[in-house]
Amino acid sequence: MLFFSFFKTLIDEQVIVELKNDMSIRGTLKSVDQFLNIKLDNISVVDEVKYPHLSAVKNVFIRGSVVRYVHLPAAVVDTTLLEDATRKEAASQASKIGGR
Amino acid sequence: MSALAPYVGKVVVVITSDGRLFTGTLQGYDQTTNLILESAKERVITPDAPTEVLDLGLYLLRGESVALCGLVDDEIDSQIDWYKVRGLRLGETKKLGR
Repeated sequence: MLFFSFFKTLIDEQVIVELKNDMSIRGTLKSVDQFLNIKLDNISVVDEVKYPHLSAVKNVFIRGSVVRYVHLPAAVVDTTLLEDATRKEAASQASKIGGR
Repeated sequence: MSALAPYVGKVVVVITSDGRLFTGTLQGYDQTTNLILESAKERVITPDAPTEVLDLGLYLLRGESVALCGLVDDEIDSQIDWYKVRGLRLGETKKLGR
């Protein structure tokens, strides 16, 4: 849930999604879901000469399972908030496991 | 919720996990990203030969093999001569042995 919430804060930012098939796609993050499937608008493929396959495509849906990296602008990320949220998440995971 | 609903009824380009490129009209989908493509065609794009197009008809693609589904912009698509397009063979999303 944490990364789902994190990505929701990045909607409308420009990101580069690097896929496991080594293709990288730049675009505006428009939507994310619980599987971390990503929708990007106004895309441009990073090495268009090598990968002309998406020349006629402006908007894509990328399956979460094939994402290797999401490159983000550092300025957009509040690392303090992220650290706090991670600590809370870790604490709640620990208490869940302890309670079994 | 990142759904494919806005793409239904439109022409889409699908890249599969084994590096193939399909195009067709999206008729249906579900949460595992299973897709139904009508009038599906496979476009085989290679660096050294003209693009091959294979007509496939009505296709169901299993979600785990779907990597990407892109909405085709008809204006741009009609200006591209796909026969002339050259490009790298797409990679697979799963490296062998992992």
